[in-house]
Amino acid sequence: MKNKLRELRSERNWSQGELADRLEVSRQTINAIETEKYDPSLPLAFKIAKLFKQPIEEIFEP
Amino acid sequence: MLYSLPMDKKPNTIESIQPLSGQFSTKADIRLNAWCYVAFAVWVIGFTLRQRHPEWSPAWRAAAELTPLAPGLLYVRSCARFLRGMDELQRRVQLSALLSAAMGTVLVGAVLSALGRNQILAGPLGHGLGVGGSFICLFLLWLAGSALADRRYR
Repeated sequence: MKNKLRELRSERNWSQGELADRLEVSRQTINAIETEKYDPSLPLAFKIAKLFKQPIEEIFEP
Repeated sequence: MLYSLPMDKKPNTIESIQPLSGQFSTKADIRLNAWCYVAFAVWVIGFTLRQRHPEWSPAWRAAAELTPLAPGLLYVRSCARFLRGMDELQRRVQLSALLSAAMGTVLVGAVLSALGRNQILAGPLGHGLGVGGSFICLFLLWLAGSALADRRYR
């Protein structure tokens, strides 16, 4: 699944570790989502959408 | 249950219990492995007592041999709690590694038993893995599975 996570993170000058802390996941998870090796669960996708104040479909696209 | 708990704190990481990872935490290690250490100590005591007292009745000997199962079960509970505290990707990696390790152990045990029964393999391994061998095999396969899955997502 394609996503704009790296783009959104870079806009805010956050490191992967910083974003991981905000989302309460590991840095490895952020990296895996950004590189599209892993699709997040629905609760995590909602958490990401809430953090970036954007609808889920704006961040993730099938 | 494993998937339904909210993530309301810093997730558990496998690095926190790996001594050479640079992120090792004694607290995390004790929280996870304390019952394992207790089970091992109880097993050593039971083993020593059984060696020193061959006159014990079969019931006493069985009791001494089975006692480590109680802390062992508590260790399984600690592992489940540790897994629940991981983030979703880590949990997926660990569950895959554990499942692969369990299946691999069954396979290795079955192959060794078959080879032993047909007198192709002699020696202690010809009787299968046994309890100790199964744990060692499970641990080694878990290490390998965990490292492979970890490399895939890193």
